[in-house]
Amino acid sequence: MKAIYQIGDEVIFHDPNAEMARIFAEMDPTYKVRSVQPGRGFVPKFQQLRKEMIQTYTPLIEMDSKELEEVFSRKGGSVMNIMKGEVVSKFNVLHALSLSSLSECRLCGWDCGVNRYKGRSLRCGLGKESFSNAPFDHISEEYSLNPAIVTNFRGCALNCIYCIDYESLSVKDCAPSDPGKFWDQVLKLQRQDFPVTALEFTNPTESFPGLMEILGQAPDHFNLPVVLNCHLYGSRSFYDMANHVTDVWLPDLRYGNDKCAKKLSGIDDYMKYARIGLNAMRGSRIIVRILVLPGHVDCCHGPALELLSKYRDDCWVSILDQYIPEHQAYLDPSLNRRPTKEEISEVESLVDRYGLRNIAKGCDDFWTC
Amino acid sequence: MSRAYTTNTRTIKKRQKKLRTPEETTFMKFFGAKDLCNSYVNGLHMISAQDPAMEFQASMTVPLPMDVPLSLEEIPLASLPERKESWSSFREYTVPKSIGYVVPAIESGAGLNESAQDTERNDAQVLVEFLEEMGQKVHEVKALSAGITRITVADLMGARQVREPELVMAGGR
Repeated sequence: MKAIYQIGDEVIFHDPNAEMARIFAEMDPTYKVRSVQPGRGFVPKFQQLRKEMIQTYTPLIEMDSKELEEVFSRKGGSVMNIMKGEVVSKFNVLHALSLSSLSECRLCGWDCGVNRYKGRSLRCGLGKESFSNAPFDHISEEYSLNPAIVTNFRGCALNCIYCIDYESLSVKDCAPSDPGKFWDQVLKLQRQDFPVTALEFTNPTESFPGLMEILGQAPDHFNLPVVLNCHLYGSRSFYDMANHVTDVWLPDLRYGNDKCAKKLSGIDDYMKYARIGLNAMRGSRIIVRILVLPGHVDCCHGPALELLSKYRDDCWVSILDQYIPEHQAYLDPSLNRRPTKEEISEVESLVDRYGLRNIAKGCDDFWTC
Repeated sequence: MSRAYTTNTRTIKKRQKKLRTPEETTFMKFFGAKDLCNSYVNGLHMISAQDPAMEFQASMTVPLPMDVPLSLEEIPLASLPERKESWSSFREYTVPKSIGYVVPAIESGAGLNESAQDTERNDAQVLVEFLEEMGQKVHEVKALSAGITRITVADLMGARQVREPELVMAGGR
């Protein structure tokens, strides 16, 4: 199901897919799907990792996290150079490490330490399995990612009262992810009339082992960049693992202070974890999204952009003007409206004031810089 | 959180105007009734051209005829039976039982708020009609808080008929 929101004379198409292109063109004859692509020669990080081979004498399943980390840190080589012992790819070691993390889960900021092989975490609702929605072709992402094949992982550590995806993030009555089916759908979407730019996973933090399982079954020829759209409430250990398979980080910097994060998403120490995330992402391509919340320019978006000014050479900023008071937003009267045009332009002018790169103003050099 | 595509209903309304039949256009020209035209688009109740209140509705600048009652008490309700009117290719509308409602409501200003609400509600109607016309299967139309309408459409993966969008590219691919 696709959701379309109408308020006054505004219409907001949430997660529009290629099917909607015809509708947009009918409404606006000048409509174009814009795209800045990385080039055919692009090799995603996870494919490189699959080709780096490591020799081990102990099966991965018998190793604990520390041993796996040690093995992963070894310099890999091509399979032809390793003739003795068991040969595994660095990708396999990282996958094993991610599975090992579930026995005492500390992937997100809750740091709950639950053994997800024995039960579900009360925070994200996830056990050992991951759940993902069917991938779809999104035609309205940032130009450097657009069109993207997007899939959402279910189960989230945050409990945002305004979450627009609250139904599709629930893990109730869902079948676990099926990587084989996932790739069938992705390859079908890739065979469309226009070239896809990226493969995007939304909400990957709590489901990182599931993401690894999916990537582990990718066809060898698959060469789209992997984009992780996360909530910036992940732990250092999550980023340490995920950095090896992430070509573009697409974090949502939701707040500028802990009080609003607690009030609206029910989480503690958001700013600490946001800094951990941004520091860990340095060196990769990063697009930080700011969803303009009504009445939160001074308390959240201003301080958030000030924080980002310390990373101005590392990241691009994307301002989202699409906020809709969904889910339980009506419980907070200040959130029960659309942001005004003034609020949105104030946030955009703050981007300029802090010397940040607004991706909407051009990103032709995104893949080359 | 993915990016959304934001636009407005003005373009759909413009498009709908273009699609109006010649009979409808003639009708609009004959009365010079811009407000009537809007009320058609917004799905407001249509009022008979013979009614004194109709001119009032059609153009706010026309002076109020002397014989129009100014309060509810002055209106002989029993003499105004409910009836139906239809014009050319217009849909059939049920005329409200009491035209007297229009006058005091506008005087008090309450009618203006109601009209604004109607406009918002009917923006959603216009959008739903447009989506259906474009081949979308509308699954649910739900009113949320803050005057928002959520329209969910079935995801027609695999059965799509996409007009190839013009792709603007930069970079190496």
